[in-house]
Amino acid sequence: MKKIMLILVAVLAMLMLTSCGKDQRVLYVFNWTDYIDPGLIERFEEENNCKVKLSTYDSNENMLIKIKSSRESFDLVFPSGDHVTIMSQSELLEPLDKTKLLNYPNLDPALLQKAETFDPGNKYSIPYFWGLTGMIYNKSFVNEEIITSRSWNILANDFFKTKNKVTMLDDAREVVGAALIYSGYDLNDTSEAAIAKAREVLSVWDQNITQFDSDSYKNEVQDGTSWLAQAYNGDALQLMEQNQDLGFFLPAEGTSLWMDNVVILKSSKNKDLAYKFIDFLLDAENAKVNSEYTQYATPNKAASEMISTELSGNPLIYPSQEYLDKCYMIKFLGEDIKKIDSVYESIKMQ
Amino acid sequence: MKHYVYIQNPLEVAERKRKNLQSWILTAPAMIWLLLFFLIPYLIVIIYSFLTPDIYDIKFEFSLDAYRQVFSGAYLQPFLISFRMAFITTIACLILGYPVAYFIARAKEKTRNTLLVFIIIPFWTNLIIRIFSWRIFLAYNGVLNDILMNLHLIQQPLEIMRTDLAVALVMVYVYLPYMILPLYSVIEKIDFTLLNAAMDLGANEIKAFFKVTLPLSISGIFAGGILVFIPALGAYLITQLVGNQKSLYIGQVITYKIKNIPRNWPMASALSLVLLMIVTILLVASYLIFMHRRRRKVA
Repeated sequence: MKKIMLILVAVLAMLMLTSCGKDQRVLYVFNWTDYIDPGLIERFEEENNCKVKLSTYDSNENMLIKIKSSRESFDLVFPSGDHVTIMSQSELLEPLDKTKLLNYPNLDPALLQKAETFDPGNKYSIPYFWGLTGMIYNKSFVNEEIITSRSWNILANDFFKTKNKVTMLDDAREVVGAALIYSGYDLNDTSEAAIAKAREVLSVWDQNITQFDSDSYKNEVQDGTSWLAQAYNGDALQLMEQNQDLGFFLPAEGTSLWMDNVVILKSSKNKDLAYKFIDFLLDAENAKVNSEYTQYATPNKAASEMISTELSGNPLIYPSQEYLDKCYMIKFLGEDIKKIDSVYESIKMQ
Repeated sequence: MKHYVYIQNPLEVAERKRKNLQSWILTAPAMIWLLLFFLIPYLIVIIYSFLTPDIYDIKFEFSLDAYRQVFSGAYLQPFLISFRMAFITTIACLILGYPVAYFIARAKEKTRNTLLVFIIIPFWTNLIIRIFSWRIFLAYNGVLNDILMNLHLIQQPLEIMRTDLAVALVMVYVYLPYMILPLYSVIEKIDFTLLNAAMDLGANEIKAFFKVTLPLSISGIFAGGILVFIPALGAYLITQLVGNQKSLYIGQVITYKIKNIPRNWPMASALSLVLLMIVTILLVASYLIFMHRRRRKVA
């Protein structure tokens, strides 16, 4: 008898839940894999009596293909800077009404200004997380003397000649960008002089470079196969936590800066809830929790002030304003990207 | 000689028709599968190779640019590097695989099956995992160097990872079973009394091998060679994960053209098709030579 009662209760509960679910509003969120604290989503669902459906992607390109091709509609997406430009040019994005975002002033004005390179007037996008590219090295093989200059030009150091111990990211913008910044140009400069100079610098670095690969260095820099590698600061700091032999520096000349952003799709049917979700993420406490979960730097100034000094005091994650001024956002270049690509390809083909 | 007059039996005709229909029904799933998932994708590759690239996509405008660039020789180097490595791999697999295949084929039936299972075991593990194990094995501070250093055979760790040697080692490891299996199936069918006959007629063992066994197993060598050479030619994972950027393989160029922005899918398609054409020509040519020789021998 008891069992039957239990089953009845269970069935009733399920019926109630499902009927409840029908009235509930659903927010469709499309984000990078493992890029948001699940606890936050639960809290948002409770607070707003709604359901958040999270789908994930692993590259901007895949995200864009899915959004363009699928009839499944999303409300919120988290594209990187250059893709904000592409998506706004394709008229996929909703211009943001910032009066609906009470927590908007929490954002760091300096980073908002950086974001204007890909989204003039910060019209469509809200910065979510950001990071920098630098060099990771293994201290047991690379002496401090070799890297004292902290310059990109360590890539040309004779110490690495014929040693087969240096890798760079497999990304034309990062590789050519490093050469451009080292030569004193903007990372997005595609003038003839800049491109010629970058080509010249890279042809020297190329002699030391073993492979262009965005993943392998994480193992190789630990097992001694690579001694020096171009790396994202988030990845590098995670590796350094596990391995004391590793060091990381941000090149003195400056470096590239990436930023992922929140945008609302024009096709969204739930814009109110989408605004609420963005505002929820912009809340200082929530942004802090989220940043501690993902280990990436938050553009939320109010949050970064609350984050433990161990993280916020680390100049490799939150560098000085002076250094940030030397960092360039990778910008969507349109047809001009072919010039950058031709340099990268000729270096690879050599 | 007798002459038969064949009178068509209506029942037989019906029976034949039924059988015909039956075989059509039976092969239909495979045919539809091939049509849908092999032929149509290939048609897309062919069509794409004649289109214009766009930064993010493809423009549906006719263009021969991709082929013009491929035939201008801009990608000759990666082609040559890939062919060289595929050739080395095939020869090494043959030299290493032949004795193994021979040994298995001549073993007792029970041991034979056990040995065959050993050859097949690597297929049970994902290729990427096997490549990563090789990386751990060959790394500067890796297993191999540790062993050699501890045995005091070397003073300095060997630099094998990220060299052509590493690529060759992993390639041979991955493709060796594809050489052994067809060789085994051919050698197994050889009538070994022929060897005794050869030796009775005065040939020593080496001569008997070269005059009898080897010629009889040539079709196995041919099949194994194809099974090793073709995938080795287009290898991407191995070359990217253990190779050096100074030898850029054609598989890497094609991947780059697909993945990189600006995208160049027409170029990737054209490169794949040119590779396919070269392989086909080579295959047909070697097959013709092979058949020609065989016919001459029979005659």
